[in-house]
Amino acid sequence: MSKIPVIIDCDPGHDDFIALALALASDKLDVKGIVTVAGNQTLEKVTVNALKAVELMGRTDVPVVAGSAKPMRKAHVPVPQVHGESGLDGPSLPAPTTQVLDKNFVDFYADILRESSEKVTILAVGPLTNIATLFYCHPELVEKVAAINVMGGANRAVDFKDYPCKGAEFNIWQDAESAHYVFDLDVPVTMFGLDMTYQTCVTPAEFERFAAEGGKVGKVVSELLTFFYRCQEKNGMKACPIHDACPVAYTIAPKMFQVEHRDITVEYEGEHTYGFTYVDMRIYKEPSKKNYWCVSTDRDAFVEMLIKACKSYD
Amino acid sequence: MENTKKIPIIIDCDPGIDDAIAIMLAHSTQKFDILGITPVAGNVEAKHTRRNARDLSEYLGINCPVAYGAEKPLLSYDIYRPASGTHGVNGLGPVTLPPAKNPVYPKPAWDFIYEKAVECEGELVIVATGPLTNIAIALLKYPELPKMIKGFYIMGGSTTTGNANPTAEFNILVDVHAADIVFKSGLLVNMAGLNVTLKTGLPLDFLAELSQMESRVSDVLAGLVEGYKDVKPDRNGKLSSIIHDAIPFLMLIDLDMVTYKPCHIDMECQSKMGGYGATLPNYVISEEAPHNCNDIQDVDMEKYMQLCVDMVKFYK
Repeated sequence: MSKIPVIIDCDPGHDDFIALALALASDKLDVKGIVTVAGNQTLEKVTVNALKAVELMGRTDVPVVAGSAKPMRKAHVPVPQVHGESGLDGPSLPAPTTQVLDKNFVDFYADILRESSEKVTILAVGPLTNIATLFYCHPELVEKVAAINVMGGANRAVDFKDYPCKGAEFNIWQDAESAHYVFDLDVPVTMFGLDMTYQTCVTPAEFERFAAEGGKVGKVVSELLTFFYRCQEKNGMKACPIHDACPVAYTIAPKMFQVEHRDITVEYEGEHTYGFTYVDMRIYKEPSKKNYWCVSTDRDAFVEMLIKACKSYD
Repeated sequence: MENTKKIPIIIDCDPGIDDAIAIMLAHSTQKFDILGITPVAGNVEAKHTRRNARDLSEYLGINCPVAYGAEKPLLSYDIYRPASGTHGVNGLGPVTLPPAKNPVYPKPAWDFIYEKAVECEGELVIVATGPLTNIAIALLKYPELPKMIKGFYIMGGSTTTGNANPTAEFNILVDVHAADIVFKSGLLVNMAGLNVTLKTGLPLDFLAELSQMESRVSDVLAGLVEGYKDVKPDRNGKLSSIIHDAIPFLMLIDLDMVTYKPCHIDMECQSKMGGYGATLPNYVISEEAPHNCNDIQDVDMEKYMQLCVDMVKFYK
């Protein structure tokens, strides 16, 4: 069975890093490239972190390209209070020696989509700025996309200390305009929102398992989880979600997830609702778009999948 | 000593009758090296603006590349309505031009603009007489573009009254988010808004005279004027046709023809009561309100009308 061609759009970021670990280990995915976007930290910092990831995982064959330095209209708001000054605080990883591919990110995406004989899946685990820009530039390439699997949004107002997002989830809130456009595209867009990702939480005891069983990558993952968990603890959580790994896991093992076909509208004008993702839950309402809302997953299987992926690097 | 070097420009537009007449005028001055035309959806749908741009380029003898732009605004595509009442369904009123034969440029507008910006080594000027969708997409793909061009001129916005709604002008209203991106991009926008264009109507009797002067464009000019419904009294009360899109070109043709005030523009993108699309000026420049706009205030009508007479002579 041939591998699914994917491009990962991300802003590493602790959980982005773990998502990369899962994707690059999978024999089901052919990762064509990693494109970074300003989000958790500045474009410069998250790009360094993406390079650290491919080096740690021994996958410097995968090109890393730098994308948008700011959201479509708003100023970029990083969250050092969540991810640290580097965007990847916690583990100490060496400064990367690998170079970013010096290519315009739109051209990078467009060339891969054009040249691929199979439709490509985009794994979007950062703000959607790059993807919106890509399809503004190339609306004709939407038909070369199999799916866009998005970590973002939430089907209810959320309120987490330290985040500036006022009720919304961070990726979507960072650039709601871009997200709105992406959710309107004529291609399946599946949303892995906080209501779903908060079901995938890893317990502190399980952090130990990553370190003990997951080899060198597992050790780094457990350090990332330890750091990232501080923010979750402040909000009364007893375990740590790995948001960005969800759309990746879904692409690898879709049967592990429950997904519903529902229209999703991203708000970019609301006074208190900027960045909200309205999942239309009304009964008797036929969806008119190709949006899908992920409801739940098998948490234990998800955690095993991650540990196994980390182990495979040794 | 007169500077005879032609100004390299790209015209981003949505022809559109006043776009067409503005292009006709600009080409006639021989001050411009029109490197290309990048049509956008606006006055009429993209399929019309694209065809009109190509047909105009060949009809007027410009024969420049036409690189297609956006078919719809960035975000407000569900509410976009063309202004067929003003420009006719096809965008040129009753006029049908001979169909273009030159091929369409093989890259989209944003890549064409960037390519030419690189080639011109900082001398490229862009004149945008339609909604700013193409320019915004170029800025999203190439955020360094503002540093790479010499000047940017638009017909759009208003620092007084609107037309499409009480405060907003049509081009900006069609794509407020594109305008927002443009005003925040670092570009200095030389803006011919309704506050000036509404003062620059060309009297209908003057235009009738022009169309009777012998030239190969007389019939087309007459047809365009007849089909153009943006007719209002000028400052002397005479019924006049307002060729909005000519005004940004005037500032390039001869800076002495216009007066302007530097300001900071903020875009209103949220109002639901009539402020949506307003270009809000702040004439006190500061760190919080940086200089991003030259708000054109007035035009030397005598010189403008002389250019129109010269235009007809050019196309003899």
